[in-house]
Amino acid sequence: MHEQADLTGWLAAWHAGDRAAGERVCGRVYAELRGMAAGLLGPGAAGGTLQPTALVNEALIKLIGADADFDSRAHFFGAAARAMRQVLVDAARARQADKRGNGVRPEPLDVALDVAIPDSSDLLALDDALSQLELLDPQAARIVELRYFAGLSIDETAAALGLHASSAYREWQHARVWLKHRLDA
Amino acid sequence: MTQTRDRYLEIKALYLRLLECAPGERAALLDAACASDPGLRSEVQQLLDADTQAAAPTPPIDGPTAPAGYLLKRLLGRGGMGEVWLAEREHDGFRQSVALKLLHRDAWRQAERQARFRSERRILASLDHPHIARLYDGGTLPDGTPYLAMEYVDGERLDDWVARTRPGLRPLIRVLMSIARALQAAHQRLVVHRDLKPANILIDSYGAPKLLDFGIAKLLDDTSGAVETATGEQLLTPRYAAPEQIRGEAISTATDVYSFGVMAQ
Repeated sequence: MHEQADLTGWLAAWHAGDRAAGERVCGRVYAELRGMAAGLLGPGAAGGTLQPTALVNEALIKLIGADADFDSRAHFFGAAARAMRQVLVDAARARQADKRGNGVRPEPLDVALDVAIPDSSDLLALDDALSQLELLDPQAARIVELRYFAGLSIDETAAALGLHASSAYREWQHARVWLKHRLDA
Repeated sequence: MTQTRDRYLEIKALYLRLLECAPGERAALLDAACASDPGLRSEVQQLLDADTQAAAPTPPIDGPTAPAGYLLKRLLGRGGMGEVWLAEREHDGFRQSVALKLLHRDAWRQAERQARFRSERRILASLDHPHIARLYDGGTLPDGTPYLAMEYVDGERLDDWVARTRPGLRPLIRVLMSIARALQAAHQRLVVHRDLKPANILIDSYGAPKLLDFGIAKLLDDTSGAVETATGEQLLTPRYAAPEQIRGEAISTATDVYSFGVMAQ
């Protein structure tokens, strides 16, 4: 409970423009997700499929509670999507470094994304392409992160970013195709 | 392959305009917009191509082989049951796009299961309803991988469609009624969908719904023990699953009605 109050306070301060509070939130969420992923994939774990969306939602309930207000949730998902991306990329790098290691496989991409990401090398390629997109079009990169790494629907993504749903949809359509083109090239 | 921000925004703006005009008008708009800039045209065309006919991702070494008569075009998705490919098949001299499901082969080694798979397939193939994606064909590859060829629906998930078009109450109810009628038609033949959810309902370009994967969960249920231990995935979707499914009890047509109710909310 104490931790939930802390994090909710940081989220509110972040929303009000406090960057340091934002960094504290992101650090805490990253640590939480990494810990959960390690528990699932580490030595002694059964291995298997990592479901980023499920982890993000579990972290939400643990860190800020299921009944958090709208702004807190929106900011939380922003931080969690970013952190989840980092956790998966770290794991994919580690897996490439040690092929015999206990591999991380993200859950099969939501069919909605329609970009096939067969294995960890392709996850790294996606991360690369997403970093390029971030430089050209930061908002588009946020949309992809929220959709893919936090599993938000178009509606939820639009709400989290303060966009109209139809505009989030158009942005998503374009970003998806742009990434696909990059990944196919 | 670095792109300047200005160029990126120019290409994006044109791409979004093209998305909104009717397919028949695209060429004229492209001609007009790119009259003095052929480079722009080719870049936008690449995006359009990436969307419609993107080459399949380079197949992994043990990539799937297509059943005879089918040509794999691109991977549509990957899930607990296997992979779904957009494929073309020759049928009565026509080329037809199909969604080709290649199922995990390890779950299908036993002859008894394969016999069951065949009989279920026959029942599903007899489901003929305008709002249910047809099962055209099914079989087994030489290496033992079972496959199903289903009607390919180029559409949008029900929830994404609702988010994008914000339909009024009347069109929304019309769509829900069509879904309910499709369910009724299947239930009269005692076929239960078992995994009804927005991701399994596509809205086509005419605004009509199509139910996908009818009865596929049942086909797979036989093998759920093997599939679950292999992948840790469940063959149902908890949010839309009826209580008796979660408890592992007998499933009836009411199971679909429950999921329909959750969705309609």
